[in-house]
Amino acid sequence: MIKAKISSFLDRHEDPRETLDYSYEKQLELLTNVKRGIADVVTAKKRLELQKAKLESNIESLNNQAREAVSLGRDDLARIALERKKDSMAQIESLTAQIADLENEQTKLVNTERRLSAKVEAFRTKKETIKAQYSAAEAQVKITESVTGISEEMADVGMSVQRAEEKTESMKARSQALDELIDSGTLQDLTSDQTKVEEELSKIKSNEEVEQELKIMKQQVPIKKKATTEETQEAQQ
Amino acid sequence: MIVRILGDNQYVLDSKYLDKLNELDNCMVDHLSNEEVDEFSSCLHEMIHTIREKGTLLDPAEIRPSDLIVPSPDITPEEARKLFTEEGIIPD
Repeated sequence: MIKAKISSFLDRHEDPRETLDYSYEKQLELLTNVKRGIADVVTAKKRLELQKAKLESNIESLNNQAREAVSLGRDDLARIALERKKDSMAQIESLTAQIADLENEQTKLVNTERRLSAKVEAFRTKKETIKAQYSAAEAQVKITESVTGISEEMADVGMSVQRAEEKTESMKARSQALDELIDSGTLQDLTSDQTKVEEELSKIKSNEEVEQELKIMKQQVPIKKKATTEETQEAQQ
Repeated sequence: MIVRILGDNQYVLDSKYLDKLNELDNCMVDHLSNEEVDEFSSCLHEMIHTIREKGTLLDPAEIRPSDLIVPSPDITPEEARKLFTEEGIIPD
């Protein structure tokens, strides 16, 4: 498969020296692609890490809300919060695996870039030497060997980059789906004002506050009343 | 001889290991055509292990075509099917 790609590449130029220059240009292009690939993987990874952090902070608030709901005797609300917590935890687990996968891809691409850089630099030096001594019959052999060697390297690197790209694309799609899921409220942060649980909890809380105030007031008011009655009784006696 | 592991590196390997690699190559092709994914990947890993253990890393600054090219260790069966011809990756 790789050998076939290489021979068509070699046939493209009549003057082998042109082949050397053309090949070198292609190598530089590929090196740029590898660098772009690394940047893409890093971006995708950062995005997933942000989502993970968001979900982790959700878990904390969901836990607090569930506890609060339990203390208020609202098991129904606590159940919703705990269910959402479970969903978030499952998402976090899958995100952790995806982040590790991208991390692995990044390491591989960084190594690939290092290897290709060394080869491209070696090729550049070799190319100039071969061109200078082109009249020699052995130059043709050297050209074929270098170009075949570097083309094989390029085909290999090309495949690695393509693989990484496919992975980042699918991660991007998944991470977008997760964003939508968070936005649609399935995994919404329950501390935000719009959520049902939070709303009900704050309603209960404010009701409680009202009740509490009322209780205090009731305690104050009867004392006064009682005092008034006693005073009246005393006065009557 | 020079052996390339795709997505990895090129190695310089004594040609006395060619028979062993050929045997593992046939093993991979057989298991792949029988859809035996686990067996396929264990043959592949043994092959890669042999190359890495018995071979030495080719200096990255050296530009040399490989005599053999083997798939990367994390190749999926689908990718492998695309890569393989009936003879396997090592021509007879």
